[in-house]
Amino acid sequence: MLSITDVEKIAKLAKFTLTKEETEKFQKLLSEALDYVEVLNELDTNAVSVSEHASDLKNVFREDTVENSTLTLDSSLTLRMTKGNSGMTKEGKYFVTDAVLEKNK
Amino acid sequence: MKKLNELTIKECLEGLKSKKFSSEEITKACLEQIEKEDKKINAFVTVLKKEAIENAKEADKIISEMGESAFEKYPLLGVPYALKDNFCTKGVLTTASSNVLKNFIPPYESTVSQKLKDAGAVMLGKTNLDAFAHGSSTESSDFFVTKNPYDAKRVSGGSSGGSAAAVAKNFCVFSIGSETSGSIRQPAAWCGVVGFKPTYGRVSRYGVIAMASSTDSPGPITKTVEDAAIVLKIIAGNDKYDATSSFEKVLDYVSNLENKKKYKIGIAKSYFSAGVEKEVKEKVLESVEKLKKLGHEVKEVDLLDPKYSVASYTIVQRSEVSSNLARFDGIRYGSDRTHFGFEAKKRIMFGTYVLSAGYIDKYYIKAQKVRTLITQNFNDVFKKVDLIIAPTSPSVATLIGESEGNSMFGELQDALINPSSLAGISGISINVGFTKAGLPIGAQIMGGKFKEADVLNLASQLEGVYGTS
Repeated sequence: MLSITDVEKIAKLAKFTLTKEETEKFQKLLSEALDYVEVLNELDTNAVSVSEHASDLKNVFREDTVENSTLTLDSSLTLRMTKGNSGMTKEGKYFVTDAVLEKNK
Repeated sequence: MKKLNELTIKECLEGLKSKKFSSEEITKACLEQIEKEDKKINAFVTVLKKEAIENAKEADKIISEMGESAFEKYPLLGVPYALKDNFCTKGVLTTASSNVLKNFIPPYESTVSQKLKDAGAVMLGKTNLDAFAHGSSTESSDFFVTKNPYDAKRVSGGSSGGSAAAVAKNFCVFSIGSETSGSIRQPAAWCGVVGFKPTYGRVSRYGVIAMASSTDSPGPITKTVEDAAIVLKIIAGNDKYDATSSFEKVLDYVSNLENKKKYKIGIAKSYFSAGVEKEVKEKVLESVEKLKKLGHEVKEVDLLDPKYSVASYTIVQRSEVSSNLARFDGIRYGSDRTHFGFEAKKRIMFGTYVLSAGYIDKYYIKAQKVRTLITQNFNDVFKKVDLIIAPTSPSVATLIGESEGNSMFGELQDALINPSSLAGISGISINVGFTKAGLPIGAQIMGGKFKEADVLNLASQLEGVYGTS
């Protein structure tokens, strides 16, 4: 069973601020899920390699050439500012956004 | 006589070609049905009434100018569809049914929706899902639950619940969903329609809001298997914007249905054991008998107990989710992390833990090794049989609220689908009957990688025995 300290550590890594109630709920639910996945220990994987994904492809590259694109910096940011409720405003050539770093200290 | 919104893609195209009706008429019929019934179902997050009618009129103009040859250039010209709201649509709200992206308007188009646009299809709107596709019922949507068209006290399944319900209720002619594990096939089964998950990499993920990047697969949800083949032919193919998209040739999945091949079909005890509801088992086994009568060979195969893939998938998926959703920092797009719903937070927390120092070997690496075993298991089985048949889901549609407090509801509901998703192979769900209470039951047919043609072929034959869904 995860401890409350464990849950608080995970929340910090995941950049979440949890209430006391949420912390306790997560303690229970995460512990239950961790118990369930113990079933994997029934399988012997000593001689087995890791599957990172389901594809057989490796190193898919393209030529390093500039391609035409309809997506410009201005168009993508302008679109967001005029239609969405992004909470951003523009100051000169800069976009002003909500402070997030202070919040997560 | 069928109403226009009740038509299949094939019927729409035939009628449009012979000028029996117009795209505007089909589109308006869909929109009327949405207006009349969607208050009870909640399939849609956004309905694009004005834009859809404009696009339909544009389609009609092209048809009147070019005649039948228009359909060679635009194979889905004038056919209205619904798109799951985790596909980015340029200039159109894309929320992933999450409060984090409640006001997000993408500056670019997903490859799938671009291909459908280029094929002339008419987008009716964006459908509801479990927020960020985390779930199997749409109960994790930050907005609302999509009700099951057969019983309003029950869920439509998920995470592509809105897309599946929209097809079942004839709000559209077809829809697009995405599947990380179960999210196309399970809601299709619970809503009584066809849901097809192609091989991983068959269809581009560019513009799909990522859940688990190593298994996410866009795919069609349709009224018939042939319709699924029609859509797949258009959306499949290599995409330079998705480095995991396959270079395998896209086949003519539609004409391939004409030759009714005979197959060796595998059936695994582990997929029919305890946990699968009695009526589901009965109906799927009945469908196996029907396949035998059609001349297919059915033999028992040995597939690993699904409990291992549930465990492996839970770890792998939630790890990838924790990484993929780290981008939502509230700076570049969307709202900050306080806006995540409970299910998203839970999965991110679990993924963060199993990836953390001291635990990564025990959980994540172990899970990825078990993933190799699951893939090898399928490879071995596909040396003995061509295709595998099983129930799509252990149960039929659950009651709204039934999943609450369950630490692994989503993954457990998809127990019979997790293995094929981890291995990246293709699978389809089709309706094979109803419970005594009138709830749809789905059977799934799985094939090896890039065996979509065979999966569709067999599914079409089985569907033929039941009549179209």
